[in-house]
Amino acid sequence: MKNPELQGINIVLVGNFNPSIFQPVWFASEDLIRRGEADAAKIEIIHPDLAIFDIEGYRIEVNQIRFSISTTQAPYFEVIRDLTLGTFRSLKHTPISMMGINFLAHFKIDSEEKWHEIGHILAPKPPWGDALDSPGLRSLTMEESKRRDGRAGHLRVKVEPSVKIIPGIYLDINDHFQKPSGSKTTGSEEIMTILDNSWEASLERSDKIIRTLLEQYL
Amino acid sequence: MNTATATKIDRDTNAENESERSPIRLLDVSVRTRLRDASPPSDGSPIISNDEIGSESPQIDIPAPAAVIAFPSTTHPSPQFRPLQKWEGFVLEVRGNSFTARLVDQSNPGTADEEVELSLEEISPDDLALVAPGAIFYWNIGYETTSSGQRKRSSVIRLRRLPAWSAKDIETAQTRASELYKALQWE
Repeated sequence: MKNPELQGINIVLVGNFNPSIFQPVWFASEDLIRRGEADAAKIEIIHPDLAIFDIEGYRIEVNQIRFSISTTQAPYFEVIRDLTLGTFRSLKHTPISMMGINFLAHFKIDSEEKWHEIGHILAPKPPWGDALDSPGLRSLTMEESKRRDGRAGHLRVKVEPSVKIIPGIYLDINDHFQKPSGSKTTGSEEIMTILDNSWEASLERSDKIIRTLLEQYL
Repeated sequence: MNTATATKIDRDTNAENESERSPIRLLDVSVRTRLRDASPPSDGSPIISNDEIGSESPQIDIPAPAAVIAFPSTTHPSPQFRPLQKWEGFVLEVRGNSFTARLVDQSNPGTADEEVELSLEEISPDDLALVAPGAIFYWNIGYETTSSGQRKRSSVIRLRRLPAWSAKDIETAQTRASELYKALQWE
């Protein structure tokens, strides 16, 4: 199977954050990133309500209710996982209630015919009758509402025509975890344990989903 | 609230409630303007998300009229890395200007582990202090395409960085281990 033309991973945490803490120099002082990386970071904004900056290979965005770290470069996939684990091991009293491990990829499809075929298979047109002229698939989201691993959360897969690779398919896999209802723990430990234990399985699952959907077209 | 790619907030059914609560509304106008100008159009999603989709984006299954150029041009504005091989490494020994390590093939799971000797020259200066027995690193070999379009073969080694366990962390782990040990029912 061909590799994606573009791919990325995004870890999103939902909780209560203090954006002004999240500065490149803080990460360096905690030895979570290299000093040189902190010096070279491109800061877009550091504000009590919002922090956005790029460190070599990845991007961090934090507001009061959301922490997001993302990369489009494979050598940094584990780096952003480790940085997230390290950050919230240091800030272990930060309340975090949900986490998404999101895998995104754009695949090139060899021909428009194959590209249309994927749309026909995922969203058959006969049920639409004459309700629409030339109906086409714009976006499709499927959900596994009860996780296979028994954890609280869900898994969503979104398929769209790629706007970056033409003709191509865009896949966005949202592996969503949350604290089980009734959880009495506070802080970040529970979600960080899930991140540490589920990361590999999450990426393997994403790979399997992609193969199931696209292997015969790539 | 969900944890999907950040851009989903705007499309989800809860979007209005979320935007009302969003701290961004509290920012000074000049900050918001700067933020809007500085951020990607998709509210801070990964730069490869598909959220540029709009009325002119392609739709699968619809034949494009001949007079219309149906597809927007493809651009690769940021550097990309296409991996060819990926290992997770475990430092066994450091001697002189080199170190030995055990490599686990991440590209081909199930392949037997390998032992290699690598030069410390391969390690970024800021990471040298981390090279010690037991250290974990990630080694990627692949093609890197720069933002200018230049493709080059690249080898990237990153040492794992995690904060040291505190005395309290260790104490907690020991307590839990002790509790588990006591709970075991030996036959």
